[in-house]
Amino acid sequence: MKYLILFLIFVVNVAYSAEFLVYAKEHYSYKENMNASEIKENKTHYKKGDIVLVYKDGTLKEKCVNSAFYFIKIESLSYADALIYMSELASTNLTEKEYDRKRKYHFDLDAFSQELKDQLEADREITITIAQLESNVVTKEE
Amino acid sequence: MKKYLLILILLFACSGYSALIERYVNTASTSGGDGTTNATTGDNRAYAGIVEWEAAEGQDLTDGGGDTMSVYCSGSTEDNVGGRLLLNGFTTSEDYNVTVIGDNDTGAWSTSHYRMDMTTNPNILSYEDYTVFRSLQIDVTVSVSIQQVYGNVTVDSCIFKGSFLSGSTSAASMWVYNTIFNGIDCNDTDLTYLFYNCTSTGRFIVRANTTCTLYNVIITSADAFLAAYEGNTLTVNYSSWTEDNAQSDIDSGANNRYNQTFSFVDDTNYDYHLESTDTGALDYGGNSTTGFGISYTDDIDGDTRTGTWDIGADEYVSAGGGWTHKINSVAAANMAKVNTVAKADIAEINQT
Repeated sequence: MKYLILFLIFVVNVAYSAEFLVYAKEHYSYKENMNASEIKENKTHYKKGDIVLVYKDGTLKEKCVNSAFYFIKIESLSYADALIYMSELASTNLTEKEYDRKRKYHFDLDAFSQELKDQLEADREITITIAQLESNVVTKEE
Repeated sequence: MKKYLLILILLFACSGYSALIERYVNTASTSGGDGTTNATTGDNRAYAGIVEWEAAEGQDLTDGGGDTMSVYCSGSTEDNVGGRLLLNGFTTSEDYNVTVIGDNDTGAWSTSHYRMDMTTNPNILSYEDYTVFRSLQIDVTVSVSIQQVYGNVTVDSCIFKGSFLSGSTSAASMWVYNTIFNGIDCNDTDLTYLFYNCTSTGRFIVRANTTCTLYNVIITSADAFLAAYEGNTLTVNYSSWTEDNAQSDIDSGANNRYNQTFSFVDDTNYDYHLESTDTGALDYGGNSTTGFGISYTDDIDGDTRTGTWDIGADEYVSAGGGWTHKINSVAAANMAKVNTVAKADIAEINQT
């Protein structure tokens, strides 16, 4: 019985994945050649590739039709482990309006392989491995 | 004739087009829809949570002809995804703002209606100027339900089991009416806080160049106190609290009532409707909204306040009183203003 339970736990952990809702565009306030003030302001908004929300396996069951998002599903990553990717990059300096920068982690979508980019463009959804996640997630500067 | 018609169309187009943008959040939906309906499946399905809406819809509402954004939230499952709502993706103005509207039509805590309960403190961190929160519920996984950091905020007919917290960086105001919450700590600069017809389960602390007015407010807890520190102003009238729990420097009006016993329907479960037998709040309020930014004549569940108003979020209504859907009145008022301007433009064009 004990081995059966361990086996089931193993199967569950391997089979299940975490699902990310990822910001697919630059925030409307983003533009080329921003001045220092605009850069500071822009940092407080979502940026392209930000992991906006993390869901349990099977939650994102309908097709993504919203141009603001991609679905990126991570094979074999537990929901509990995935939650870290939804962390905020927080600041306590409210007087300088250097407040929370929405999300600490984001995907460098431009660094994805052309195949993955094409798939994202076509389906707005891809499934990747933990290794691909780790190699493509960037931590924003403090 | 055709030429003038073309000129008219051109002028109208150049004057900018204003719209009321309506979006939907439904916790029974799944992410990735366009949020344009309250459906829970299909391409036009509602957003699955308020954080997703904020991320998807962030925009400059003041550009072009200017727009107002209303997001209607529903669903019986708690919205607890995303840590918290960090409302900081829009550009707004007094006329072109965001209104977040829940669906609780009961005036009491309801587990069958939309409610937030996220894990990061505070549940709502608001940076958008002129935002309106209406008929929302927030549970208490964290202590602070809403912190206003920037700009002006209006809270109408909400039930927040947590507290309010200020942290504004510039002159700002918060207007709160017909709302149930757990007190406030005003601890930053140049703020004007107005609480009208509210029921508070907790304290009011005012400091750091803040002006705070309580009018028709019940403070239910015998332990909750009122305090105005460092020469700040806390004006209280037509309100009720435990007399021993106030510092002497508050500006107390002549119509306050102390040490009262209230008869609520079920305060343990956040139903602060007054019983007909109540002797603490029923018919002891003031009727004026003078000095308040918004003139209102209803209560938390839409009943019309009549006669001598009651203290607190609820106006007692005998059998037959019912909820009137609180449609987005602020946005509607703005739209009326927009439409008036547009009509004036057209009239001017016609005369030309």
